[in-house]
Amino acid sequence: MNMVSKNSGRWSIKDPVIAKDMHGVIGGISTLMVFPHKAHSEAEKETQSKTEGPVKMYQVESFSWLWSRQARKLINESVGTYLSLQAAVKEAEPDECKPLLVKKCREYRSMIQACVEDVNMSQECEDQEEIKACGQLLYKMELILSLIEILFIDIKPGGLVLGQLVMWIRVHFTQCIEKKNEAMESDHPHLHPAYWEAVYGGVSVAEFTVRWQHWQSECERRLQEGHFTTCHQLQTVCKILCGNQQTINSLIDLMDTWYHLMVSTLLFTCPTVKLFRLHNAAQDAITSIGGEQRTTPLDNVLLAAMEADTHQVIKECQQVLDNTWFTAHVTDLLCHTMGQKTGQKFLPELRESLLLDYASVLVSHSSLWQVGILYLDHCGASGIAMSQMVLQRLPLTDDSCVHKIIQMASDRNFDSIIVGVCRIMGRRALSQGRLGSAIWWGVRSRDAAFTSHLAHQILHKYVAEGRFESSQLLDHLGPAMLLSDTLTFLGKYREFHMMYQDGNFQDAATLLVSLISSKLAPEYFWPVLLLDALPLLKSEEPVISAEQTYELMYCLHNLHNHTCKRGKQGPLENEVASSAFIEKERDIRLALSNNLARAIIHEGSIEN
Amino acid sequence: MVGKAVVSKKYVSRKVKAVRWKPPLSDYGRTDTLVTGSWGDTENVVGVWHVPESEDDPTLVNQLMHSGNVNDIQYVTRDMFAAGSSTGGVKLYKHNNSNHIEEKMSWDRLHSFLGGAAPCTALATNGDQIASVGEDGKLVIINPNQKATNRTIESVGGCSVYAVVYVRASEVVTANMQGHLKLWDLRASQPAKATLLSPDQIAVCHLAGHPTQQHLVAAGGEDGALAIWDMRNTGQPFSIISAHNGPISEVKFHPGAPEHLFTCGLDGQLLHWDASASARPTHMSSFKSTRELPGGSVTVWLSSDVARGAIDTTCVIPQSPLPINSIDVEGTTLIAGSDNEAIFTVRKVMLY
Repeated sequence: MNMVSKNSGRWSIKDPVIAKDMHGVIGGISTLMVFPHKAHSEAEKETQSKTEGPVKMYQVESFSWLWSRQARKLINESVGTYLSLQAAVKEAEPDECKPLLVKKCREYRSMIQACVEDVNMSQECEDQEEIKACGQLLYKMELILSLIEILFIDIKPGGLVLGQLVMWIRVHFTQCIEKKNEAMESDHPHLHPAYWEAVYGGVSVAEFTVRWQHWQSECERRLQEGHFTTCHQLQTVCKILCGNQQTINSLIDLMDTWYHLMVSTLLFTCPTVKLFRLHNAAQDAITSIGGEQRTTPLDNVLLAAMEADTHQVIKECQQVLDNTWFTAHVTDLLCHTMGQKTGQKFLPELRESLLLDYASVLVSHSSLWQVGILYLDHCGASGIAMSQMVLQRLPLTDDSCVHKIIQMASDRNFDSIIVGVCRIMGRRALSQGRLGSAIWWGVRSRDAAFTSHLAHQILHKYVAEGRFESSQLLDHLGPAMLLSDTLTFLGKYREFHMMYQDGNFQDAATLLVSLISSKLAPEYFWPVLLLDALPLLKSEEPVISAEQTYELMYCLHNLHNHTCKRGKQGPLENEVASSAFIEKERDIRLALSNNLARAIIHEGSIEN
Repeated sequence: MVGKAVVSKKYVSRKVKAVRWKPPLSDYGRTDTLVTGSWGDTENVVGVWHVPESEDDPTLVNQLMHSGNVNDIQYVTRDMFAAGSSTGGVKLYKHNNSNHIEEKMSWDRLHSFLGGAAPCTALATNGDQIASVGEDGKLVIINPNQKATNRTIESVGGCSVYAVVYVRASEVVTANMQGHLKLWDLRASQPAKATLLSPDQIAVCHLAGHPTQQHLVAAGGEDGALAIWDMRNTGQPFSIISAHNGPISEVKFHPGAPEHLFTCGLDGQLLHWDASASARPTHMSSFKSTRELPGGSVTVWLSSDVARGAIDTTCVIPQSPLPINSIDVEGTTLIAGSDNEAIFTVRKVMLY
C-alpha cells in the first residue's frame, strides 16, 4: 500500500479498478480513505471479481517533514521552551520581556543547530537526498530566525544593527574564513591564489571601531598620496576600506549573497545605519547583484525582515519552508514581542491560527498527539474545542493509553470526555464478556443505565448458575453502588450474603425483608430472595418478625399470581431458580405460616 | 546532595515506555548499558544504549523492531531480558558479546480476550521463570527455555491486571484495576493465598518488591498515592502516602540502598523518597537497637514515620508536561523514559 512518493507533489495510485470511479472518505485528521465505487449488478460482480481480483481500499496520509525522526527531536525539545515561554510571558514585567524573548529565541536556534549536527552525524544510513534536504531546511530556518532575532526581538538602543548583522554574516557565511585557512595552510601564503581573495573578504567583514571615520579619512588620504600604487592588490584593499562602491561591487563573486554584499557595503559607507534605513540598502544590494529576477524565496523572507514587515515575513516563511513548526514558533515570538507595542492587531489572531495549524498536524500523529494537546492549551477557545474533539477521537488501544487520555482530560477539566471514554471502555469490556471490568468502567462513567444493564446481567447469571462473577468487585462497591437501583440492590444483596455467611442471621433477615419490601429487587429475582428466606424462616430462634412475615407472604402472593398468569400465556422461563421455586413453593408457604405463628407467640410473650 | 544531581535529556524520536539497566556483572559493579522499549509509534523498537561514564548523553548501540507497544521489560539473567507486548506476546532477547541484542524466544498470544489479543501489561521474574500478566486478567508463568507455558491462572470477571512482582521464589503478587492485590503460591494446586484490598476501587498501576525484605511491597496507585504493604498483615496497607497528581506509572526501590525509593507518574513528576531519616535511632531506643539499624533494616519502611506519612520526597527533575513512564536506578545513576520522546539520565541522584 506504500505507493506514495514523499518528495514530489504529485503521485498516483496504480490500480485500474480505482481509476474508473473513485470515492473518498475522510478517515482522520489528515487521512483519506479512497476506494472504487460503482453500482454493479449481481451478474457483473461475479464476472468482475474473476477478472480483476480483489478490490482494495487505500489509506492516503499526508506526509510532513515533521514526521521524520530528526524533526521529532526538534518538536519534542521545543515544546518545553514554548510552554516555559508562555508561562514566563504571563508573569513577566514589561521590561523583563525582551531579555526573556531573546533567551527563548536563542534556545530555539540552538535546538535547530543541534538538529543540524545530528543530521550531519547520521550520514551513514538513510536516504542521502533526504538528509541533504533536511540539513538545508534546518539551515534556512536558523538563518531566518537569527535575522528575525536581530531585527525584531533583540533591538539595540538607538536602532543600530550593523554590528549584529556583521556577526550574522560571519556565522552563516564561512566562505572567507575557509579561504583564509586554506591560504594560511599553504607554504607561501601570499602566493596562494586564494590569498588576496581571503584578504578582501576578511576586510569586508571586519569589526567596526569607534574611530572608524577618522581612520577612513586617513585611508583616503594615503590612497590619494599614492602610498599603495606599487601593489594594486593593496590599493584594492584600501579602496574597500574607503567604501568605494565600485570596488566592492567588482568583488561580488566573493560574496555568496546580496545580504553579504549589503552588510559589506554598509560597513564601509554607513556603519551607523538605522533599522529603518536598512530597506533601501537591501534594495540597492539586490539591484547590484542582478536585480529581482535572481532572488529566491529565501531572499524574499530576508528582504521582508529588513523591511520590518512582520506580516510579510510570516507569509513568506509559510511559502519557503514546508513546515508549520517554524511559522508557528516565529509568529508566537513576534506576537509576544509586538504585544508590548501598539499596532499589529492581526498578530494575536494569526498566532492562534498558525499554532492551531501546527497542533492539528501533531495531533494527527500516532505518537505526537500529546505534544499537540499541549499546544492547543494556548490557542484560545478554538484550541480547547479542538483538544476536546481530539481526546474524544483518539483510538483507545489499551488501558495504559486510556489512562493517559483520562489524565490529560482531567487536567483540563473535560469531564464529559472522561465519561465518554469510560463508557466506550465499559461497552467494549462487556462485548468481550468481561463483566467485572465492564462494571469498573461503567461506575467510572457514571452511566446509570449501563450499570443497571450490567447488574441485571450479573443477577441473571446468578439465577442461572447460582454463583457470582466478580464477587470481590461487588463487595467493595462503596458509594458507587448508589449509581443505579439495580446496582444498589446487587451490592446490598451481596451484603446479605456476607452477613449470612458470618452467621449474623438477625441482620441478614432484616436486610432481606427490606430488599423485598422496598421493591428494589427486579421481579425475576423474587424467587431467589424467597428461597434465601427459607432457612431463616426455619431457624431455631425466630429471626423474622410477624410484620416481616406478612411482607414475605405478600411477595409470595404476588409472585404466585404472576406465574399463574404467565403460565397460561406460555411456558415458564427456563431458569433453574424458577423451577426450583415451584417445587419449593409449598415448602415456603408452610415455613411462612409456621414462622408467623412462632413470631406472634414470641412477640406477644416479650410484651407481657 | 540532591542539588548536585546532573540531569541530561536525550531525545530519541520515540516515546519511551520502559527503561531498564542491564544488571552489572557483579553485585558491586557498575553498568553502562541500558535497554528501552517504545510505544505508540508506527514502528516500535527495543533499543540498547551505552551510557558513558562522563556526563555525556547515552548513545545508541543497536535496536530491533518490535511488534506492538513494549509495555514492560525485565531482565531474567544478566544478559537476557523479556519484553511484554501490547499484542499479548512476550519476547526474550539476549545480548551478544558486542552488547547487541538478538531475539532468543517468542511466545505469541499469551493473553487474549473473546475479541482477540489482549495486551500484556507487566512482567516479573525470579531468575528462573517469567510471570506475565495482561488485560485479560490472566497470570501466565513461562520458563525462558520452553516454548510451552508452564502455568496459566485465569481470573473471574476479566478485570485487567496491571502489575506483578515476585516476593519469593515461588510466590507472586498481582494487582489489578480494582486495586486488589492477590498473593499466589505457585507451588500449590489452589494457588490463591490471600487478597489484599486497596480502598475505594483505586487501580494499582505498579508494584515493587523490596530487594531484601520480601514481605514488603510498594504499590503505586491510580490516584497518585504510594501504598506500603506488609504482606504479613493483609488486612490493610501499612501506610498510604499521596504524592503524585495522577496515576503512578512505576515504583522502584534502590537495589543497593533500599531505604531510597523512586516513583514516576503520568503527571510528569519523578520523585525520590528518602526514608533513611526514619532509620535514625530515637532517644528512646536502647544501645542494642541503635546498633541493629543499618540501611536496609526492617524498620525503615515500617517505621512510625512512614506510617504517619512523614517522609522526605524531592523532585529529581523539573516537572515534565508529559508522562514519565518508566524509571530504573543502579548505583548513583537513575534513568527515566518519557512521552516527551526522551531518556533522562540523572547522575549523582543520591549519595551511595
